[in-house]
This record gives sequence, structure tokens and C-alpha cells, in this order.
Amino acid sequence: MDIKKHFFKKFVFPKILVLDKPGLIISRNFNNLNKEAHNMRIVYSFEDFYVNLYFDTLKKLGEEKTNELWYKMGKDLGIRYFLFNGLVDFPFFKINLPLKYFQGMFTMIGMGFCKNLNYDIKKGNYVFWGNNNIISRKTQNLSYIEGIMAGVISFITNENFEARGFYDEFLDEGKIIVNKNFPKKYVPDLEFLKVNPKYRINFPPENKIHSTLYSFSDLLKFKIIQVDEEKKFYFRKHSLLPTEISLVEIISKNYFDGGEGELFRKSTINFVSELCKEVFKGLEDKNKKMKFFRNIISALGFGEIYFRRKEKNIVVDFLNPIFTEFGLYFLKSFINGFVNYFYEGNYSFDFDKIYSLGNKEYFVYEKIS
Amino acid sequence: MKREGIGIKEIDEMMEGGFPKGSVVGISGPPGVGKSIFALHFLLAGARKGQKGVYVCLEEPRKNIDNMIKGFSFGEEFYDFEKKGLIVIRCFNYSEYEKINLEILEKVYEDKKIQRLVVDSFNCFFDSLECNSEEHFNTNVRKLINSSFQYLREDNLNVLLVLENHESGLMNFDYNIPYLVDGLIKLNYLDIGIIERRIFIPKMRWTSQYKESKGYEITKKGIEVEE
Repeated sequence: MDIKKHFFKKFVFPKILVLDKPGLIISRNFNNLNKEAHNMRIVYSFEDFYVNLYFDTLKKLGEEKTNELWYKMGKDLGIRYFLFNGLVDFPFFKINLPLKYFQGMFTMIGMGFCKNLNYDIKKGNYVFWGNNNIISRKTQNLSYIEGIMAGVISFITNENFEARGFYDEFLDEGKIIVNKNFPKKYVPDLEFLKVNPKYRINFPPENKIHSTLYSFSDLLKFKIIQVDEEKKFYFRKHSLLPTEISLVEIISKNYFDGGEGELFRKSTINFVSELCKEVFKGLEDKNKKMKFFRNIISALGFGEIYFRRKEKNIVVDFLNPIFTEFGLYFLKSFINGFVNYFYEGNYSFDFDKIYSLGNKEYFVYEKIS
Repeated sequence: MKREGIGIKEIDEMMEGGFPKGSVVGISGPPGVGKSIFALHFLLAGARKGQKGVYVCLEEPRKNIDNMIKGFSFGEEFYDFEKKGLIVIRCFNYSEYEKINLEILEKVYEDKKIQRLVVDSFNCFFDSLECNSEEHFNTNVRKLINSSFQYLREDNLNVLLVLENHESGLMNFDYNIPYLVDGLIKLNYLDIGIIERRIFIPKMRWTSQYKESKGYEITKKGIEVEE
């Protein structure tokens, strides 16, 4: 490892995995600039889910609107990620520290275009380049990562920056230029993205975690989840992306707020249904399928779930559920995919309704057909 | 170093061709992972080479062992070797082995034709000890283990000790077994709806063993390990 990267990761923003229990993965960032530690609830999601969502969106909205939406989502994501560190104003002379942090963290989760960076602070120009970037390597589109980089630089510099991306002719190497003089595309709403105090619901006391299900590390130990030399994780050849829980729900929220909630829901359901068909091929026993799905949800960090029938409907109980300010549209849609597959019907849910029962929550999937 | 294969190619490859000749190896794992099936492979591989093997079973009646053997495609071959005297199966119930205890091992030690021995499970020996206190029990178990190993260490004898274990380690206490044995093979499984089984060799003296775990399945052929 590069000694500078090691230094920054270790001493400026050390990140520690503090908990990996069934249904619950928590990491902690300690920020030496303002001496604050921040816990993050982490989930693992499928890269192919995002890829399918991109192509489904492209099909419905066309290239221009899709890119616009994904750029906007990316910029929100970039800013939200930094809001977790509780840093608002970076001193001008220390700007390289958060930049190095961003590069280190995002390269680690597979954002290959963050590997290299040249910048000129006075001219307000930042150039990132690299290859094999998650999602983009399959969609051949850079809009979301352009957005992320524009968001990060805007946040760090406290000025609005926009970004433009370029692929080389072989669609492998890519370059993204972030510049403050590019025409304004989208300015995120910091109020919308700020961390809600309720976020701490995501960290239940350790003594409340009693589970017969498995954790991410359990599945890793038994190679049900595998890791390659670059520390990227895979489930049955599908790569998994570790993200703070809000990030995937910011994406869903953008779709719903933009009037494309149904597109998001259908795309998610289709992805999960196809995944179930693939994973459960040759497996007839329904109880085993149910157990498998519950364990996967648990290991990926989304909480512990239980299914029960209530007349025609399916109720999904949650223990140690995730909380985000942006709703749980992704999670509800994801489980909806399994419910449709498993109960062999067409079910749907009320997007805004979550029922509480003590420290448990439950969703209701109503049978449509 | 001469090797004694256990008859499962992929597992032998994990330890440079097999157990070191004359070694005592423990195999541990929770119930249902295939420890006894592994033992059958071990005896069968020896018999195929003309080596006499003894299966000392301290827990299951003969009927259960037969049901297990019959369930595999190598069952008939196994019984052929038994008829020829190359495989000997001895099952003891609790009251029997309580009385004879180390005599079993002594007899194996005296029969120089025996080249492979399985004790399934080795933990059962401890149950037969009578003690006044836990401390006394622990001391006696250690003494018993040490005495057992005097009989088991023979240049021409390869021993496989089946060790029961649960979540927290070996069934009772692991005492000094992991230190005394020349090798330790761990079998484990995870049931997430689909059962995933894995084999890992944390210790094998005089061997540069495979450092990762490998997946395996229990089929009609016995234990089948992924490439």
C-alpha cells in the first residue's frame, strides 16, 4: 500500500468495522480534522441491480433524461457521504486531506476512476482518471460518477462544481473533469441530505441482537460470499457494493420524487425475481428457499426479517430494521421481488406506510393478482 | 516423507499426498458433517493397498454403521474387504468399553499387521472415567490421553481420531489433543437453507498443507470435494 494512502486512512479518517452481526453491519469513521467519530450502518447491494435500473430507465426515459437523473443522484450521494463526517468548511490548505480520503474510500469499493487525481485549486479544475469503475464498466455511462465527483468537490470547496466524463475508445479507461466554470446543472439541497438525529435507530444495543441467522462474515467464511484479490465481494458471481444505508435509498427517493417510483419498483422486483430464479434453480423445498433469502438479507446488513400470511396479504416483520430519512423504497421493493416469486402472485405495498410494534417494524404486501 | 492417502484425491492434494506415514490425525466437526464417512474413505483407501485397517466404534451400534456403509456406492467393496479381513469393524457399547478402555488400543498396538486405525469417537474414552470432582476428572482425562498416545504412536500405524465438537470447541474440553496430534482436519457446515460444507486443515506436521478451506458435498460416492 502507498504509504501516503496508509497514513491518510489510518490517521486522518481511520475507518473501523465495529460490528458485523446478523442483520447489522456498522463501521466507524474517526475524523482527525475535527476529532469526531461517526458510526455508519453499512449494507451490501448488488452491482447488477444498479446496472439493470440504469438500462430500464434508459429504455423508458431516453438517454438525456436518464443521464440527468443519474447525475443528480450521484451529486446527492457524494455530498451525503461527506456529511457523515460532520465537516462543513475545510481549510483551504488542508483540502488534500478529504480528497485523499475520498479517493481511498471510493477506490476501495470499486470506483476505479478515483484512482488518480490531478488538480489545480486556483483554477478550480480537478481531473480524475482510472478504469474498471463499478456500474459504469457495465453501463458504459459515467453520469452517476460524474455527479459523485462534482458533489464531493463542491462539498469540500464550498463552491458549486460540475463534471464531465470521457471514456476512451475502448470504453475501459475513463476520465472525469470537475470544474467550477462548467455550466450549472444541479445544486443539491443540503437540508434534504443532512443526517437526521433519528439515524441512531440504526445502532441497536448489542445485547438486543439475538439471531439464528448469519452475518456477512459467516457467509464469507463459508465462501457463500467470496472476496477477490482486490477485496471486492461477490455472491454467485454478482459483485456486491458496500455502501452507507442511505445511499441506495437516496437513489430510490430521486426516482419517486421525479415521478418514476413505479419504474424503480418494477426494475427492483424484476431484478430480485430473476436473481431468485437463478439462485434457487434445482431447489424445490420452499422452507429452504425462505431460509436462504432471510439469511442473505441478514448477511447483507438489512436487518432480520420474518414472513407471515395475513389473509390474502403477506406481512414482513423486521427486527433491527434500517432507518433512512429517504424512506425504505429500495428495501420494500427488493423484498417485494421475493414475495412475488415465493408466493407466486403479484403483490404491492404502500410506499409511505411502515407499521411499528415495539422495537419491531413490519411492512404489508397486499395481493393484487 | 512417506504419505498415506485417504482416498479422496482433492483432500490428499491438500496435504502433499496424504497423512505423513505413522501419524496420528484428529478430525473434528459438529454432527452431520461427515466425520465417520471420512473415516470409511480412510480405511477403504488402505484396504485397496492391502493394508489392514480397524474401525473402533464407541458410539454407534453395528446396525447403524452398516446402514451408513450401505448408503454409499463403495459399500459392496467395503464389505468385500471386511470378508477378506482387511477391514475390521468393532463396535462397543458404553458398558463394554467402560471395562476394557485402553485394552482396545493395547490390542491394536500388539497386532503389527494393522496399518490403519480409526477411533470413532475418541471423546467417548473420557466418558468412561469415574471421578470425584471436575479437577480430578480433568487430570484423569489428560493422563488417559497421554497413555492412549503411547499406543497410537507406531511407525507403521496411521491413526485417525474422530473428535466430536460443538460451537465452542471439542465436546467436553479440548484438553491437549490439538497439541498431541500430528494433524488436525476440521469439517464444518453452514445451513442457510442450502447446506454449505467446508474442510480446512489447520495443522499437519511435516507438511505444507493447503491454507484455504475447500467446499465439499456428501453424495452417493461419499465425500466429494470441489476442485
